Amino acid sequence: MHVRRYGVAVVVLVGFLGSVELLRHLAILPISIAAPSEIYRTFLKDQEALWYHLQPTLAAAAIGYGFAVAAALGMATIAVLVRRAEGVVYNFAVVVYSIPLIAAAPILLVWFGPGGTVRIIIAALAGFFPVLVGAIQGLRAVDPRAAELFHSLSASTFQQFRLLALPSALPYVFAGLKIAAASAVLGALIAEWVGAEKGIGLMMAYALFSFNVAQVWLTMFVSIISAILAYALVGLVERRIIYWEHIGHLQAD
Amino acid sequence: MEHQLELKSVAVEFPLRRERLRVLEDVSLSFDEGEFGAIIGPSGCGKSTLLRVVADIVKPVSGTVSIGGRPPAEIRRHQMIGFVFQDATLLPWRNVIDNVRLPLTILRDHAQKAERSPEELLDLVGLVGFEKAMPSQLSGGMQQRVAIARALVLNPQVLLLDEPFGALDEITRQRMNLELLRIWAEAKTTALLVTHSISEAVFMADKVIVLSARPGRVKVEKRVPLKRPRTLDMMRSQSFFETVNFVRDALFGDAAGAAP
Repeated sequence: MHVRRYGVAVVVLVGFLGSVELLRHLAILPISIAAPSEIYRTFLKDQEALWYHLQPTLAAAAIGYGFAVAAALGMATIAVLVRRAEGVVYNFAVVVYSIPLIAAAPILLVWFGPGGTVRIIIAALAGFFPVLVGAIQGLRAVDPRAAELFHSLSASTFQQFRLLALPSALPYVFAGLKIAAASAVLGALIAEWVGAEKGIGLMMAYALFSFNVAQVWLTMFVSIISAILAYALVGLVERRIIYWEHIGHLQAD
Repeated sequence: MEHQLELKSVAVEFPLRRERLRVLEDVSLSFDEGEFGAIIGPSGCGKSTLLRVVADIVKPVSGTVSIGGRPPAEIRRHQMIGFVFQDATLLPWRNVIDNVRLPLTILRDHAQKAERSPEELLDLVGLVGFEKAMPSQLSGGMQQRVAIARALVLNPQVLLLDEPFGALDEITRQRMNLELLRIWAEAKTTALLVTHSISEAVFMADKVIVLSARPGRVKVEKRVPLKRPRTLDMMRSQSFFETVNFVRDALFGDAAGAAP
C-alpha cells in the first residue's frame, strides 16, 4: 500500500523530469529553465559550497523557529487564560504577519548590523503567526461535553487547562508548528537576499546576478527540500506526541 | 422524612436572541435515597436541562433544588455528582483506567473522600483486561461502561445519566440496561435517568416522571409496581404492560384525539 503510493509518485516525477530534459534538448523550453541533467552536474560541482551555505541558513531558521514557538505559545496561553487578552493578542499577531519581510529585512539590517541576528529575527517573524493561530484555535477547540464533565467535577480553571484544553489543542498546535517550520526556513532565506555573508539565500542571489541558471534552480530545489524536511521533521515529532489518533479498533461489543 | 433529592417549583430560562426561552416551568419532584428515577418527555421538553440543574451546570431562575438537604452548587464543589453523558465523553488521550481515574486526579480533598478503586469499578462494569486500552479501540457500549465507572469513582450522592444508551442499538441497549441496574444496585446511589424510551424508563425506574413539551412541566408521576431485581422476563408481565401504557398515554395524551 505504501509502496504503491510512492511508486506512482516516483513514476510521475521521473516522467516529468524526463520530459523537461527532452524539451530543453529540443530547445522548446526557454533557457531560463535548466535541464535536470545540468542541475545535477552543478550539484556535483557545487556540493561543498552547498553544505557550507546550507548550515548557517538552517541554524538561523532553527533558532528563529525556537523563539517564534516560545513567543507564540506564551502569548496564546495568555490570550486564552486572560479574558480581554485574546483580541489584543490576535491584533498584534496580524500586524506581525502583515509585515512584508523583504522590506523589514533591510531596516533590521541597518539596526542590528550584519551577522546572523537579522536572519534569526526574520525567521522568527515568519514562524510566529501560524503557531499562534494554531495554539489559540486549539485551546478553544475543547469538546463542550468534556467541558461540562470537568465543570460537574468542580475542576479548577488551571486543571481544566492542563488536563483538557492542552491535550485537545495539540493537533491544532502541531498544524501550526509544521507550517511555521517551513516558514522559518523561507524567512531565513529572505533575510539572506538582503545582506548576509553566507547562506543558501545568498548563494541563490549570487547565482541570479551571475546568470548561472542551473545554480539558481539548484539552490531553489535545495531550499524547497529544506522547507519540506523541516515540515516533515515536526510531523515526526507530532506522531510521537499525539499517539491517540492513529489506533484501530480492538473488537466489537 | 427528608428526601435525598428534591426539586421545588424549579423554572429555567435560556436567553435566545432577544427573548428568554422558558425551558422548564414549575417542576417539583422528589426522590428518596437510593431510588432510581426516570425522566421522559418529548424532544425539547427540557429533560436534559433538568439533569443539568441537579448537577449545577445550569442555574434555575426560580425554585429550589436540594440534594441531601444541600444546594447543588455545594454538592458539585464537593465533587459528589456523577454524570454520564449521551456520548461517553472519554478523554481520547487517556487509556481506560486513567479515564476512570480522572475524578481522582481532579479531587481536591483526599481526606474527606471515600473513593472507590478504579480497578474494582472496571471489574464491576465488566471491563477487566481493558485497563490499558484507548477509548478509540472500544465500542460505544464499552465506552459507556467506562463512563459509568468514572461517574462512580468518587461515590457520588447522585448519579445522573443523560440518555446514556441513546446511541446504541436495541440489543446492546437492553444488555446495558441490565448491566446498569446491576451496577446501581451494588453502588446504592440515588440515580436519575433521562431517556427517550418508554420501556427503558419503566424497566429501570422506581418512579417515572413524564414531562410535557416546552416549557417542560411535570405531567405525571408514576410509581413502577415491579419488584427488584428486574429481569427481562418482567417485560412480558401485565404490570409492565399497564405501566408502559399509562406512561404512553401521558406522553401522547394531548394528541390522542387528533387525526393522524
